Amino acid sequence: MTDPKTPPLLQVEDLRVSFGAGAHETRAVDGIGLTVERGRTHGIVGESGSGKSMLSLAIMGLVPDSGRIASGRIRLGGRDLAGLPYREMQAIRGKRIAMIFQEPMTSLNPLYTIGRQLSEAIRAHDRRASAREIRNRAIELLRRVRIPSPERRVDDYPHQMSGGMRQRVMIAMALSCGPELLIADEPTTALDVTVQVQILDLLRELQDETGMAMIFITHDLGVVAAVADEVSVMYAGRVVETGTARNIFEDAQHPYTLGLLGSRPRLDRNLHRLPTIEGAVPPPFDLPPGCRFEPRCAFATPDCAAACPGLRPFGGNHLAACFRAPVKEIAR
Amino acid sequence: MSHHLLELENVTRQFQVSAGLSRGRGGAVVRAVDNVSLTLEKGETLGLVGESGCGKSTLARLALKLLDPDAGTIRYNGQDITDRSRSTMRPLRRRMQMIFQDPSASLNPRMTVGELIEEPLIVHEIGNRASRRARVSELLSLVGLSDYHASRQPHQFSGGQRQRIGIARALAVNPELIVCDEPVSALDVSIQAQIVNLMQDLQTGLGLSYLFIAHDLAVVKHIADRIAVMYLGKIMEIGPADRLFENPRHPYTRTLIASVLSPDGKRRQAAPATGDLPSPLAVPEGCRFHPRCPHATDLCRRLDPALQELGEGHQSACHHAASLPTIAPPEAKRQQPTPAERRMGLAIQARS
Amino acid sequence: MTAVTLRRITGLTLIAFVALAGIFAPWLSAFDPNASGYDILYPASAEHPFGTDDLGRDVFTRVLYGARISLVIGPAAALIVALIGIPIGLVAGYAHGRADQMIVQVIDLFIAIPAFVLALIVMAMIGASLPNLVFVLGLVMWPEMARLVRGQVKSVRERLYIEAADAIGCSRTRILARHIWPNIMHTIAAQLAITVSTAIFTAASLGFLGLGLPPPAADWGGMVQSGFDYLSLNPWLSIAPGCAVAMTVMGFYLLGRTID
Repeated sequence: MTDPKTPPLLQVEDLRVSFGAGAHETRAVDGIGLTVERGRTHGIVGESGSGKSMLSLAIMGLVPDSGRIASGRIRLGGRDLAGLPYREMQAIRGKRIAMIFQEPMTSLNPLYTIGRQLSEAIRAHDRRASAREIRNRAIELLRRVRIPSPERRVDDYPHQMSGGMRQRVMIAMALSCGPELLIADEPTTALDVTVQVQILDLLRELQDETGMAMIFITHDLGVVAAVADEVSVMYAGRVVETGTARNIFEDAQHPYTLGLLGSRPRLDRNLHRLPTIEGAVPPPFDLPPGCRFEPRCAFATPDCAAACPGLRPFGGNHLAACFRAPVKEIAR
Repeated sequence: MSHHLLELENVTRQFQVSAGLSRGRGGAVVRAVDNVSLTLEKGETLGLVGESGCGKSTLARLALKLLDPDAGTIRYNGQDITDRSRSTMRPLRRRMQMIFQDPSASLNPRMTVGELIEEPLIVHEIGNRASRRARVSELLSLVGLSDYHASRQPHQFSGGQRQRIGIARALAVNPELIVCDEPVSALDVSIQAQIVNLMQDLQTGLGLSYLFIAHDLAVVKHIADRIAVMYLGKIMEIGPADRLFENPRHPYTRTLIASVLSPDGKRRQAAPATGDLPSPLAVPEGCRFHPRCPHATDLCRRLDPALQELGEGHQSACHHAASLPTIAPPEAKRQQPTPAERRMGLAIQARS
Repeated sequence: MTAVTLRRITGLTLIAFVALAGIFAPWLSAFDPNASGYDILYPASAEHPFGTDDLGRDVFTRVLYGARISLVIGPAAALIVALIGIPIGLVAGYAHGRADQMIVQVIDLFIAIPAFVLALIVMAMIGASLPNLVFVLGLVMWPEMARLVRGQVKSVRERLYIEAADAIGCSRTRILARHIWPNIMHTIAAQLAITVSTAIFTAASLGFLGLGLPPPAADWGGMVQSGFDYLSLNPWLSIAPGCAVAMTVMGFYLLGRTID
C-alpha cells in the first residue's frame, strides 16, 4: 500500500447530497466516505437508486440545481472541493478531474468532426498552441486510445464511428489535459461485450502509462472484478461494504454484497436456481428506519429494524455496515 | 408424425436504410437476418445470443410474424404460416406471445394493469367479464403481484414489477410459445435473478417453450437448453448449451465466452477479441467474422462457410470447426468454496 | 400555483365571463341589440355604458349579444374541423403508402394556400350568412387538424406498446381505438380549443373586412370596423367589441395550452 504519510489523492468524508427541503428532503447520497489512492482504481458498485451517479457528480461539482451538498468534505490532494465556487471548480474539472459517461454519443456534438472537438478540449487548457500543433496532439491522443489510422479518423464525424470507437474518443478527450483522477460512470454499459473488454483493457493500460487514479462506477460486479483495486458497494445512498477487490469478492460480509454476488448467473457454475434478493430498492423518500437493507435481508433480526448500522472493520481496510456480520448462524 | 413447435427455414429479411438527408432510393440494404434456419421443440428453451446489430430482435419478430420475411419459410406446429395475413394470423397469436426488453415502453401508459392483462382475453374472446377478472387476479398472483395492483397504472411500478406485468399479460391466453426479447437486460442485477427464476418456474409449471434472446451469455447459459449464436445476421454456432460452452466450435463463440467478466476476483488472462463489430451495412466478404478471427485463413476470406453438423445437433459455421484447438472449459467445480460462497449458502437456507 | 394551473384558471374564467355575458344578455341590458334609437353616437354614460352607435343602438347590449354569436361560431367551426380533420388524420396516420400519400398531398395543398385568403375568397363567392361562415371556417381549418392528428398517430404507432398489442393479436381497429386514440386525444382536445380560438378570431377578421355576418347581426368584427369612422366621438364603439374578441380568443387559447 502507499506510504501512510502522503495524503490520498481523493478523500471524501461524510458526504451528503440532498434534494428538497424540510419534510420533503431526500438524501441521494447519505454520509459517504471514500478514499482513492494515486494510480489505483476504486470501483463503486450499486443498482439504480443507490446514489452512485450522484456521488460522482458531487465530486465533479455537478450536482443538479435542484440539489445541494448538504455536508461533508471532498478533498483532492488536501484541498476541499465541496465549497468551491463554480469558476474554480471549472478549472479543476477537465484539468485535474475528468469524467467519461455511459453514452458517448450524447456527449459528442454530431455536427463537428472529432478532431475539432478534441482540439477544443486541448485549447481550453492551452491557449498558446498553434492550430497545427493542436491537430497533431489530437492525432496523438487518438493513437494513445488505440484508434487505428488516427490521421484519417481525426476528420470523422461521431456518427461515422462505432460505439466502442466513440467511447475511445471520449477517453481521449478526458485524457487531453492529463487528469490525476478519471471518473468513469458506467463507461461500458452501452457497449457490446466483446467491445467492453477492449475498453476495460484500454483503461487499465492508460492507467499504467499515466499513473492516474480512477473511480469506476458500475452495476456490474464482473466489470468491477476486471478493473478495480478497491471496491465500495452502495445501497440506498450509503456504502454498505468497502475493501480491496479480494475482500469483496472472496470474503464479502454484507448480506447485500452476498446477494449481488450470488444472484448473478455464472459460466463456471451450474445452478438449478439463482439465489435472489427479494423485493426492490426502497425509493429515497421512503427509507426504512433502521438498516436500509433490513426489509430484504435474509439475516435480519429485530435489532436491524431499530438502528442503522455503521461501518465496522473486518481486518485491514475491509469495512461492512451490518450488525450480523460475520454471518455464522441462520437467523430465525 | 410429430412436428417442431416452431421452425424457421432459410429465413431472410432485409431493410432499406435511407442514406442521411437524401430521401428516397439510393439507400443501402441491410440484411438483418440472412438465411437463418432453426427449430424450437415443445417445452424447450432456445437461447439466442449475439451483439448489437446481429439481427436477433428481427429474428424474434419474424418468428412471431410481426415482420414478414423476404424469403424462407416459417412453420408453426408443422403448418406453413409464412404467407398468412394479419387477420389469419390472429387466431394463432393465442398460442404465441412475446415478452419485451423494456417493460415500461411495452405497456400502454393510459391503461390500468388490470386492463392490460385482461386485454389478450378480450381480443381472443375468452370467457365473460367475471371469469376474465378472476383470471387477471390469478395471473397477478402467479407472477408475484397482488390483486390491488390491477387498478394501478404501469408508471406506478418499479422496472421489475413492470416486467412481471408484461409476463402476466403474455401468459393470459395460455400460450405454448413465448418469445422473450432481452427480458432481463433492462433490469437491475438483483431483480434479474428474480425474473429469471420466475420464468423458469412458469416454464416448469405451464410447459412453456421459450425463444430467449439476450446478449448476456451467463443468463442464457443458465436458462437455455440449446443456444444459437448470431453474428451479423447469421447463425454461427448452434447446439446444446452444455456442449456449446464446454467445447465451442466457432471462434466467435469463444470470443463471446472469453468476454464474460466473472465476479470471482480473478482477472481475465488475455484480451479475447480484436477489432470492432463491423457495421451491418458492410458485412465482410467470405466468413463475416474473418477480420476479427485469430484462426482466419485464405479460405475464410473467400468463402462464406455453411453450418456443418458436429454431432448431437451441434453445428458450427466455421471452415475450421473440426480443427480448432481445444480449450480448457471453465473450471466447473473449484476445490473450496470461498467464505463469501459459504455465507451465500447460509442466506439461501435462511430464505427457504 | 404552477404556471399551467394559472393559465387554465385564467382561460376558464375568461370563457365563463364571456359565456355568462352572452347567456344573461337579456337580463343584463334593457335594450334590444338591433333596435335603432334617436340617441345617435352618445358617449359612455350610466344609461349606455359604452355609448351608442351611428344608428343609436346601445353598444353594451350589442357586445353582450355578440358573445352569443361568437360562442356559436367558434365551437361550431371546431366541430366541423373535428368531423373532417380527425378521421382523415387517423386514416392517413395509420394507413401505409398510397392512402397516406394522397391525403398528405391534399393537406399540403390546403396548407400552401393562406387560410385567411381562402376564407375571404369563398365567403365572397357564397355570400355572408351564419351557416356559410361556419362552413368556410371549417373548410379552411380542417387541414391543420388532420396534419396534427396524422403526426400524432404516426409517432404513437412507433411505440413499443403498439407492437406489443400486435403481438397479443389485437385487430387494427382495436389498436386504433384502445391504444392510439387514448394517447393522442389530449393533444387533439388542446388543438380543438385552439381551433375555437382561431375560428373566433378569423370570424372577427372577416367581419372587419365586411365579409362576416350580414347586418344587423351583432358581429364583433363588423362592430369594430363600423366604429372606426366615429372614434373621436365614441371610441368605445371599436374598443369594446375589440376587447371582447381579444378576451374570448385568449380564453380558448390559454385553455388549449394547458391541456396535455
